[in-house]
Amino acid sequence: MPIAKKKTAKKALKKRSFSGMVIPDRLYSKEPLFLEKVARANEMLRDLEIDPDLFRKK
Amino acid sequence: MTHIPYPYKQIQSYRYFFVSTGKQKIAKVVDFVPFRKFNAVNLAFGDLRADGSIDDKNVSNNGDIVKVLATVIEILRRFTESEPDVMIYIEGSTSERTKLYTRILKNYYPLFSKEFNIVGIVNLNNERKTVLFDIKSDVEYLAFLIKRIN
Repeated sequence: MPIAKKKTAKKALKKRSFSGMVIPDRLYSKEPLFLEKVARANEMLRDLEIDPDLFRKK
Repeated sequence: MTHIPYPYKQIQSYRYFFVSTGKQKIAKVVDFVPFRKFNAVNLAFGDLRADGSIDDKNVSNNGDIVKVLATVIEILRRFTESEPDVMIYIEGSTSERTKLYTRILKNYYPLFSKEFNIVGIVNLNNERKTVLFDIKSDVEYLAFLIKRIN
């Protein structure tokens, strides 16, 4: 691989790593990660009426 | 929480990444997933497996649970600073986890309540209701909605 390309690849890898771990491309996509949890939360909130006053009380 | 959090990285506007460095190194992902029905987001977090999939039920016993939770709370703080009108929905991936979150909210209520209004979702007569979070109550909270105090 040409040096310039190698450097670019190294830079990209550095950009996509953190605390010594590579961050997979999947995390940069819009792909949902927590499907089961979101489905459960939607079920919990279905038919729930949120009293907005609760968020005003302090 | 007064513990020092791990450094974290914002990958997208609604997604964050950090590494737990307890007994072993475990990559963690925090995701805020918007709901269609409410001006709210679902706070989800879990371990990133080597194959790129996410596990939000794993009990890693990495010896740093307090630091991990302090990091999630720090991310929550940062997120709600940029999105102060959004409610955050919090529910454990298991009922044990939700109970753990209840204990944490009770323990740190004096601190959290300065920054956030905390509402619990409970089961009353087989109906789900929202109630003010009460540290003295023995009621079982099924989930929480919190919102930054503007």
